[in-house]
Amino acid sequence: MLAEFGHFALLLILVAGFSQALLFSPLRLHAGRIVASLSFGTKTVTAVSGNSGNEALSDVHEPDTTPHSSALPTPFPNNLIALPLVILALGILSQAALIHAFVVSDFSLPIVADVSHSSTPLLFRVGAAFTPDGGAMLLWVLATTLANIVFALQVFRRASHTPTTASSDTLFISNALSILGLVIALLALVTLIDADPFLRVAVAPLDGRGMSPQSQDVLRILREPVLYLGLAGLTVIFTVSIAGLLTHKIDRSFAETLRPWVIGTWLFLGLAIAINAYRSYSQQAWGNWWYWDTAENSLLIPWLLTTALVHCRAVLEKTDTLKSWTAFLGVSAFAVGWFGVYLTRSDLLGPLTETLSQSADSTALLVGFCLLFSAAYFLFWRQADRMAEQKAFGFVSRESGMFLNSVTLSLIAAVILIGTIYPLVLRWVDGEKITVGAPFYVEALLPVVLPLMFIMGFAPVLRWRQDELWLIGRRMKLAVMLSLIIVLFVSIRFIDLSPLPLIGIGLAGWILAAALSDLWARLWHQPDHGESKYRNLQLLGPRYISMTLAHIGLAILIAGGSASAVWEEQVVLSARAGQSIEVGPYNLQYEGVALLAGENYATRQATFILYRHSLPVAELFPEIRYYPIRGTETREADIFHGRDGDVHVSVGDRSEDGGRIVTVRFLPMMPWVWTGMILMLIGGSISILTRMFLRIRKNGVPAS
Amino acid sequence: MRFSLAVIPLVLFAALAGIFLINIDKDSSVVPSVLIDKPAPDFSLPPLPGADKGLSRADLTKGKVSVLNVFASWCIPCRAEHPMIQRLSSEADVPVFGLNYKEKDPQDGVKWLEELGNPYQAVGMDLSGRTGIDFGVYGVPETFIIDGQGQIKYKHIGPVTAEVLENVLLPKIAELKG
Repeated sequence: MLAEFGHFALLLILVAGFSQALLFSPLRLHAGRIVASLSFGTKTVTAVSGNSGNEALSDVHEPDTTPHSSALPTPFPNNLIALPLVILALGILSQAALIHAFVVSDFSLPIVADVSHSSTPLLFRVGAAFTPDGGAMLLWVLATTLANIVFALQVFRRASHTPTTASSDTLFISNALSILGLVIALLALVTLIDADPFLRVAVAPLDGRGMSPQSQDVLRILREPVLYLGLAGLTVIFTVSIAGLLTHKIDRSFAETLRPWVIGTWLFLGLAIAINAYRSYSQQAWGNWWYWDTAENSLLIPWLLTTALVHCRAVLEKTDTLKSWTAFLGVSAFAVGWFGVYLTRSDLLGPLTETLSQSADSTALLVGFCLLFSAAYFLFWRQADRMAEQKAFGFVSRESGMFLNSVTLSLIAAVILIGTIYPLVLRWVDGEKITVGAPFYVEALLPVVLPLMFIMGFAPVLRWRQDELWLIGRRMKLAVMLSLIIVLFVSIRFIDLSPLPLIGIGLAGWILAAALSDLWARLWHQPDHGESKYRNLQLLGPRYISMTLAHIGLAILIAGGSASAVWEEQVVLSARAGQSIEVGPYNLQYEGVALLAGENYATRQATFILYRHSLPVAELFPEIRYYPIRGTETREADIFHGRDGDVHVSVGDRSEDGGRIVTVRFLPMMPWVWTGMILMLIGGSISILTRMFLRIRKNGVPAS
Repeated sequence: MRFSLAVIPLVLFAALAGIFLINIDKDSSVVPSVLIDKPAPDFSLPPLPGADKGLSRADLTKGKVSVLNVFASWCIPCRAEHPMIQRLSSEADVPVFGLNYKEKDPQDGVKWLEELGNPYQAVGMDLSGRTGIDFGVYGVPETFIIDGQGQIKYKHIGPVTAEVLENVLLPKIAELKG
């Protein structure tokens, strides 16, 4: 019965989404005050002339958050929030109904019978709700309804804190909310058509087919909500961009509105990528952290465009330039995000392991994608030229550095997109089946990545508007010297190193040296008269700190990735109990295999003792798990994260001579990869959290 | 309106969307198998306990179209599709072979067939799952149609329903028999 409520709630989301689209649509705003007063109650949307909305928000460092008297009329009354709130409640209700069906193992729902089983542990039964098409789509809908209410709160708070709002602002906000409602309705419709999760069958099977063992993993389950929150963030970026295009309001206040969304999306997508990388690293016997497969690429492409957006949005906010480029990226980031969902959800690029019987139908997902984005790009074409850039910037300036940066990031995204869909198109054209792997990406990406990393080094020290080359040279002196020393040291110390990893490590050193030398210069320059040097630290500001942390994180990630790929040591052998295996600076002793029972699997768990300088440092337990419901095995590697590298152990079948196949790998500097990712994420969080913290301290109300 | 660079995204998007929309029906419902039109892998499997004849590649290359059905006693959908395999065996007039996939105990398969009836001409026992891997089995049940020369012509993943039997498998077999 609850499932039917969920079904009805999903249907109501469709209706409510369309209502929001109509309620806030510019058509209605123009339609006259009668309609306006009917649906809005007291306040009409007349503009108060003579005061520009931009003014209140033009000072980006100290946004106007002074509370004004609530007696002042606001452009939208309280019920601006009512409808998004209702939609959110419906989204929660619908998702809760589906999770309930999984928790109680209601196999009369085919979606439950397909990917769950009564013996699946509770946590994974909940997680199983997100793995099939219908469940994933529903999660996307829920995340978008959440983003919808947060966005409504954001604009509402701003509207109520700004004494007067220009008509262009009102128009912009209502456009954005209208399109957001439309997207929510579209997503709900796609869910209902393609993969309705709440359908029932008359005769329920006795038990389910079981959850895919690969998905029975906490990290894997955690990835889904994070991923769809990222996609929901992209949705808001998209709607704000479209609203900006419609109302010609791509300016500083537009950039200000976009700011938390761009950084939040960047964080969520980045976190999903990191989780994914760690998951494939720890599960598979061959344990790479990046495979260039469709699921990974379809996360990486929107993340790259969001990264590009982080940079050009900052330029827009600071200097009111790069308008159409920002709008283009805002639209495209969501386009590739949606397309990525389509690629992974449809079985175009190989079967999904989650579902066995139902073949995925994602026609509506594709049709909706084509309709929404052809309209969006058509609008972009008609409107982009009208947004004349009033100001120009010099060729040597921070703006051009960041613009180049975002262009190269977009190029990288384009290359990966081509690599992902090329095998598919080729198969359609002449039936040939090929796969595109790491060699293609390395060769195609290198010419773009190298200049990007080069620019990354000095762009942060460039001045806005206009800078001089010789001045840059002076500022970069220290960084150039530092990075040359690093390259020299590495090439002498490891004389037989091939050029590619050397370039990788060298450029990582360059970014690191540039970031550190700039930080050094800012911290130790002579402060103003009478102030202590501690003031310099305060002057850095959260934005600078988060940018520096993210850049340093990327440098560490690249260095770790290059180094671990080059200096990796791998030993594959047939081991007998008591045998000792030497790898890197470690010694690994194989103790044997025990047959154990997990909650819904049987496992052959091997025990290894890891020694360093004949002192035991860790015990490692790689496993081969057998899941009888699906009759499949998974291999769980075990990993020791040491100071200078990871020891990655996995076990395989019994070999013919009676030993067990053991794969041991020593990956030097692998912890750098994870440290780098974490630093980047911390960098992004600082930027958002300090802002929220400051706002709470100022207003005493939680920020939206 | 003068030519503007802003039209490029629209054109590119239209091209991409066009390619995907045109091909929307192509192999979106059929899981592509790398084995289609390839010779069946070489294998030789022991019989179930009590049976006299196992299964090997030689059985598939006797000049007659045959069907290979992968099943397991632990697999619930296999139980569901079993009546259809029995129908297939009686209606199609082709040898139907069974591949008993990854049983814990060899007796499980025997008991299962005793209980539900045995539509198979011969059954090979794949305890290790090695032959299953060679056939690209990733979920049971799966059903292969193999021509007289041992070439895999069709692969169905998941349980055979009456609809699949009548609309897909039987026509396909008839077509191969010529």
